[in-house]
Amino acid sequence: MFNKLKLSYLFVYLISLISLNQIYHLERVYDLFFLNIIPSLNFDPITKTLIILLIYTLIFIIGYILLFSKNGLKISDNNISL
Amino acid sequence: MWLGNILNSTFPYEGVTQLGNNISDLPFLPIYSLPFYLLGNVGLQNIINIIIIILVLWKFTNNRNQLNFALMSLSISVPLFIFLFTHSDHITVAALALLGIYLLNEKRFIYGIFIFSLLIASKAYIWLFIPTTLYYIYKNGNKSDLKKSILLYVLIPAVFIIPFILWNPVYFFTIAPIGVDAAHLNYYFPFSEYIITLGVIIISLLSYYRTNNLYITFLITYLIFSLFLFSRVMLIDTLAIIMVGILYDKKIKKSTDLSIVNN
Repeated sequence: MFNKLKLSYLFVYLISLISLNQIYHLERVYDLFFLNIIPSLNFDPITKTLIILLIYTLIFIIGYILLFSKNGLKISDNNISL
Repeated sequence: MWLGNILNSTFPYEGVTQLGNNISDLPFLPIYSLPFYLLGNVGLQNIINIIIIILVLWKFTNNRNQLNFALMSLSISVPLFIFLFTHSDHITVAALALLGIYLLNEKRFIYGIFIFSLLIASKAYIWLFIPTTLYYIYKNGNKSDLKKSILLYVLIPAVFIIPFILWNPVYFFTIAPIGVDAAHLNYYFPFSEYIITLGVIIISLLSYYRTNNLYITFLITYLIFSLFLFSRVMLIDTLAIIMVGILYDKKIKKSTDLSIVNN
């Protein structure tokens, strides 16, 4: 069985992705963070969307490793049968 | 905008926000913002909101692991950051709703209902969950609690809302604030705003009937509602997911602890 905290963490990530897409649209998020600072970093909308998806997924993975890895914050998998 | 209008003695819902939208806040939210408005920055109230959210999560969790999970989830949550910097109203509603549910779940009915009474006078989408809170008290409290709850639900919102209804009833119901949320829902199909509202309330009541759990019901209610109006309730969804995750983790922990005792 999947650890419920991991599942919840995944859902928080999914809701965040939908939020990014719904409110600002991912390519506009890219413009906000990168294009305004370095105008030469201009790509087509799909690439911009993929870059933002990648960056946010990296943040999610870093959080995941911090939370659930053995060397991280040591959240135990309570589903392991004793 | 709202406070500026009322200080100029004009009907506060006339006019639009900086983003060009009609004001959808019911009267409690601007009044909650008043001290921060006088201090010079309405955004300061979000510090209080964040403190409320963290305090509730801290009280709700059983151990450091669950608290770490809750804080990490909050820190990767995009809705929280969007609302922190753009819409302080939705984060206030989400924080107070979380506090209200926590208090109700701890059997502090009157405090919980008091918070929800204030929320009735804050945002229209909170009304979706009000019948379920009454049903919860009907199942878990006594008749006196139920009577007090209904009384609070009528009196407290009335104090905030009735003066504005009397001031300009047509504008209040058709344009803003009530008209704003309805306008977001009324383009799906004929009378969709009424059908969606009624449908979500029925699903919410059925969810509580089936699960007997306020947090899961809260999550289901607003997940269903977010199919139609996601942008308003995305933070509520996030907080509810975090709480339900912790809840299941507690249950699993409890069952493994029990199995240790039995063995």
